Amino acid sequence: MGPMRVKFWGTRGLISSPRLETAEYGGNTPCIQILHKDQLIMVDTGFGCSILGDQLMERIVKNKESLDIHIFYTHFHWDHVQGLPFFNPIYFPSTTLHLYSPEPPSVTLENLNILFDGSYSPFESLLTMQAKVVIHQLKGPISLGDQLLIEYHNVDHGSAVGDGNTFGYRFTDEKGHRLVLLSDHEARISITNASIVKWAMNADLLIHDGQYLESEYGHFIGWGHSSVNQALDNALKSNAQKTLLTHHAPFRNDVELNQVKQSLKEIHRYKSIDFDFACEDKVYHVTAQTVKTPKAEGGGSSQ
Amino acid sequence: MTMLLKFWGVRGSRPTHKKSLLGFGGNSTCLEFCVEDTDFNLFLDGGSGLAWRGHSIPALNRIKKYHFLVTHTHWDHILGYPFFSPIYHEHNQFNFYASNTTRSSFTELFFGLQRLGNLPVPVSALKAKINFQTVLPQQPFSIEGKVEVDTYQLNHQGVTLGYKLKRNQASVCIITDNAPIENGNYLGEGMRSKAQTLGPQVFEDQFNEGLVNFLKDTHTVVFDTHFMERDLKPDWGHSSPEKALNFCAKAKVKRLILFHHAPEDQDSAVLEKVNSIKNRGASMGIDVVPAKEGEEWDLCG
Repeated sequence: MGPMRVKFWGTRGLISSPRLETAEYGGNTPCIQILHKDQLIMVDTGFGCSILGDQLMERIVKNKESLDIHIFYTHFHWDHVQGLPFFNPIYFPSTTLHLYSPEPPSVTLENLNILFDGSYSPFESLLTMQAKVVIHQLKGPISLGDQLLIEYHNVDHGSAVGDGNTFGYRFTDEKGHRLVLLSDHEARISITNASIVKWAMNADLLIHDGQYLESEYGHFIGWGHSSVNQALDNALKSNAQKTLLTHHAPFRNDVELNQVKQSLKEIHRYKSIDFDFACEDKVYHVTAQTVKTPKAEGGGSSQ
Repeated sequence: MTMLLKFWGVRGSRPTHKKSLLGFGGNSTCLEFCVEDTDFNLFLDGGSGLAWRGHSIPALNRIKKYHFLVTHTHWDHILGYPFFSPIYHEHNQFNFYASNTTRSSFTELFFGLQRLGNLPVPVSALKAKINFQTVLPQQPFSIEGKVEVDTYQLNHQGVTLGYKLKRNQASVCIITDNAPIENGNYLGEGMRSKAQTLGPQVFEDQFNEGLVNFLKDTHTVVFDTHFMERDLKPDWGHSSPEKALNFCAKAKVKRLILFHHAPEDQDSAVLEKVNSIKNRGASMGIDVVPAKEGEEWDLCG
């Protein structure tokens, strides 16, 4: 089992961008899996989740496992939800989908149910799919399996239009290792950002929105996404051990992302930061393996 | 050439990104027709491929017209519209040709994409002039007198339209999404009651003969071949290479382009589909090829 890890199934913001030129960093819309013990935990269900779903088929069909899948939503914009009807476990009565958001269950349902509308899809409702769907409203920290603490915090996802809240998540395992996820957060000078920086303090791994280049950001102030520079400034301020930038602009290709990375590494104040652009289909350890010696697992207690 | 077809999205159900399938492309449905001696852009459907297409269109300070033929409103065919940049520019004019269902109108569903809970861009941000024209099955119309268009209701949920486009010697049919009709899998709106009135056999024969007539003597047919024959799921609304070829053979078309690749189809699976009917097609004078993102096809000769 080992310590907490994350796997990116989708790294692309706004809309899928599947092309040979984006093959390395990825072309699916956002979905992140948190690997901890044997639990199935995901953040958001962009189209990347469909590929994870395909991989779970062997457990469901061949091994006849009943899966409990926990999905935490940052918010309900298309790119963060649209894969749910194509997440194969949803077609099996043996699956229980636990959907979490700090929003009231009626809001969560309404914003997801549109994906199952009979005019946009061949379905009738999220609640009539084969899987059992349980919608949870987060009202404070929760623990999964008593060993993984999950907390949320409001982020700044644009003020141009009033379209509901967006949330960041903090995962802390039994060893105190900490993962902070701030997707769709605009790290401009604000009370929210100051509060976020404090909340994210000393993360072992910080996953941060970095959709724009600094040169582009001026055209998109208030749209709810950070420039790569703002993201790295937050990494510095919050003393993150390692940082992964995600929510890549749809049409930025692998060559361009590598160039951006290179030019950021040449900026003096970022020289001390361990950062990269998140790659799809890749697993990242939350803590550097060389720093901490993994302790023995407390066997048999996980779900 | 008088009209070319270009594929911007060839994938069915959803866009998908995996290194093993990017050879043919991972974007969902979007086709463009480039028509000689015209100044408009003509598309069929607005899947994720449309967003990528829009990325290369500059904002102009003059009127530019965009015509969209709409097959139906399932997600994979429409999710790219809000991400097609020309729709935010005031000089542009959009015409959507679409069917309505008893359940909802295309206009309603189109603006529903800008639903605030799911997209932070309100309808008021769509600065282009947008016009909607209702299309009824088998009622021909023309695009600015330059392209003749006819439609046929397919066996798929709602009122899904197959399209035929003609321009001088060039002709093409787009048949997606469509399930073979067998054993009462009547998916399209109105089909069940028609089958009850006429009797199932008469209705099925009428549907199949009607589709053959619709395709008759068309140069190129783009056909939904989501499933291999052995994997056909009658209620899912999709077809197979064999079924596609059977129709094309009866209609004496010259080229069959396999389309709507299943999201799990790797490049090798797409080739397997082509190879499964390539020789039989050739023996009847039909060139069978796979739809591939970025590829262009002439539609005559």
